[in-house]
Amino acid sequence: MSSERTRATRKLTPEGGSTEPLATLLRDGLEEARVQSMWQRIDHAPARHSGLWLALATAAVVVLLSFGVIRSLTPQGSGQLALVSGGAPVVLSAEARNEAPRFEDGSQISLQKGSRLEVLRNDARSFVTALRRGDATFDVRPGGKRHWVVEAGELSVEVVGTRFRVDRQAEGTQVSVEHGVVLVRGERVTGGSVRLTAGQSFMLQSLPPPTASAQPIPAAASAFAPLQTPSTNLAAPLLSAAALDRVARELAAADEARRHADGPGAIRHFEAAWSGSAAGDARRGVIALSLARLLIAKNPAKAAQILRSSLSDMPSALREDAQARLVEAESRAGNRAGAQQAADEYRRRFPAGIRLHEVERWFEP
Amino acid sequence: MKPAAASPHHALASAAHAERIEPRALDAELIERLARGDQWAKEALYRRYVKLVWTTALHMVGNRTDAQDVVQDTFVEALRDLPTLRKHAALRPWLLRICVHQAHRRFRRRKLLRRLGLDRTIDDAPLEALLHGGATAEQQLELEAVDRALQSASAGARFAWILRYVDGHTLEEVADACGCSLATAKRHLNQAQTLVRRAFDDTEAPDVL
Repeated sequence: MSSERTRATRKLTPEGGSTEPLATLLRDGLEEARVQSMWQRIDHAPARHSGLWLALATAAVVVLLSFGVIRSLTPQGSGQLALVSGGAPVVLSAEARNEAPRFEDGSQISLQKGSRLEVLRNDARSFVTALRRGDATFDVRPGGKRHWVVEAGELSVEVVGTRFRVDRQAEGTQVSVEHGVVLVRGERVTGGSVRLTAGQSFMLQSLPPPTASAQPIPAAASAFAPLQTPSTNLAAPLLSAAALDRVARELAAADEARRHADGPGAIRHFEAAWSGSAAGDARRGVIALSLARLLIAKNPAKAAQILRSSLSDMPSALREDAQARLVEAESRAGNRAGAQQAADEYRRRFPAGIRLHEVERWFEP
Repeated sequence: MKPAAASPHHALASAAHAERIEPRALDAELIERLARGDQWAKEALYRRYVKLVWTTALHMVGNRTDAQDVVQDTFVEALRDLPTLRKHAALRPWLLRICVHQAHRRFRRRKLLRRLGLDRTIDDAPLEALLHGGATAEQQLELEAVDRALQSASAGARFAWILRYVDGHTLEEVADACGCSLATAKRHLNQAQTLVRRAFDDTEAPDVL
């Protein structure tokens, strides 16, 4: 036995007299993504029942599923976070003066003049917004049932129950926390994410504008005749005001149709909005996802086509949802190869994703 | 808009400290908030103890997938049964007890499946795979020997040894976490320790007899 071996043995084994646990030599490998992913599953875990309760629960699930099929065609406003003044917001803007809309759960968003905030997703579990421009302070009621996410350009801010401010200007985006905790994510954020607690702030400088001419982008495979076929990245800004207005009009009409439980009407307007939005338009991904949700039961092939052609436009907060929906749509449409490809892509991008079980349910290798 | 004065990355808590979401709040305060229906307290409690539960589970089951399941099951059970916990100070050992129980279940299941040839996966997190980058080759070899020895030990002996010598719990804590008497915990430790000692003896045998 070598003397080196003896020394090492003494360090590692209890009989060597060491009082230090071996854990001090080990890494725990507990990264923030895993902490988050496990929490999502814990927080969404169904209560466990057995015996009679299980039978009753199964019967209830059958009834709920039947109800859900009908309901999936007519998304309701219920479960959405509404303003105290009434109605679920689609866009919050402060064009002429500062605005501070208050929500029925007690949360409040204060928008400085010139700011624009779009609601990307609003349901019983999440409230996802995109700060297009300006300065907004979020006062999120702690303990609320919704997961708040604010997309601000390259940054994605996840909220745990707090008051914080997001300021998006040409030179960069700054996130400052007054109290509570937020998680800031972004590709240019070191390590992918950063945790901010009270009094801390994070600044991400904007990248300098590219000097080369605009790169061509692939034309989006369209299920519908597009209003315009963009050929360059400049397409979105160059779109005519009329085309932009038309998308906004169609979205408003779709929203109105959904409020009146008019599923086919909502599909019609979303289709028109989707056709009218160019690749690179920030709304395109959200429109595609909304449309796919409405189509997925009756016309899954079309839902899959729309999702696949809009994945690159999907805001990061909705990317996982969209990828999981794509697996479901391809599977429902009987396209096994497409479902496999989408499921592989999901596993690659979200190895510990919260929709992994759903993906595996829709596609079993 | 002014940029932050210093690089935020230095000032911020790393993921390794993710459990300290609200260090000032006591367990009792969090439990009371939870009883009042404050959802925030749920996550705060989780983040405070996730590292403890994760490392315990990972060391015990030796693979990340099972460890993740153990963490989830532990917190789901704990959050469900929290109202039954009378002594707030006992939260940590209580969680550890649930974690060890869940790890035990997973471990036995995996072992059975492997014995039946229904599970061909390889554990991706044995102790030696978790060593810090700066560890010596000798340390690596010895942890491999420890892993081998613990694989042949009974689940009870393995868990007791890991809790005592890897995670550094006291003998009383080991007995409490394993839900057994002090005497049983000692017996388990002795069993595992004999196997570990034998593994070292084998490792250190001369190459040429």
